[in-house]
Amino acid sequence: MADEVLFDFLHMEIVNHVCNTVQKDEKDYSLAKLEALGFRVGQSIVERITKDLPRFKDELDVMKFVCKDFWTVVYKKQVDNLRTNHQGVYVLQDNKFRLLTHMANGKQYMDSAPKVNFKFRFRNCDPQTEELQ
Amino acid sequence: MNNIKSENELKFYYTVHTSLDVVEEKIQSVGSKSTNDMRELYLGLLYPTEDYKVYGYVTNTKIKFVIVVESSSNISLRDNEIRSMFKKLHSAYVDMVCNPFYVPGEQITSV
Repeated sequence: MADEVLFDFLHMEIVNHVCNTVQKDEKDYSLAKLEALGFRVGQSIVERITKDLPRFKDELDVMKFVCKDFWTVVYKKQVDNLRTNHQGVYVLQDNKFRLLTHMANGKQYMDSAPKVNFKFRFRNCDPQTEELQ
Repeated sequence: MNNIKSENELKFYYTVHTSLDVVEEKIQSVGSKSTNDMRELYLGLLYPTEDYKVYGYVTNTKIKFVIVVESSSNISLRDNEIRSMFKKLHSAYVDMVCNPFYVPGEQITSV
């Protein structure tokens, strides 16, 4: 669909713009700035899609919402796998993450990878998790 | 907090702040009992005082709305009317958050 392409280009340009406007010695700052941008966007989206939902019972209920409803709205698919260690750590696995599938998978820009999305940071944080779905 | 005379302002702040304890109580009971009727965002009448009735509403993003109605007046509001009032308030809030110029947490003023 045309609007999806528009979003992809806009997303790419924003990342590019923010990374180019900061000084070379402020690498963390560009990440922080992108994260703040993403947080603000996410806050608006979440406020809108939780408006007519019943109240969440517990943390697991919230995670299920993120994996199903939220992911479908933002990435047009559900999370493939949700794992937890029942101590507050959740691992979301998406095998066809929309913002990454259109990119070439060379290793040239590997150090810029966290700029696309922070999700992959906590992917390997806890191997002792148990499968939920 | 519109239409408040300045001498009453402190009283209203007091009423709203004490009602937050009741809101907290009601939300905690959702997890333990997991009854279906408590899963609504609208919390119902929090507590009636001599002059006012206090109603509460908490969104899924933990934003709390409190409506204080004068109970001495002859108009008695039905639960559904309060509920639709909260729904409108919630919609207005969502629109406000989606406004890129609004910084979340700042005061919202109505015209």
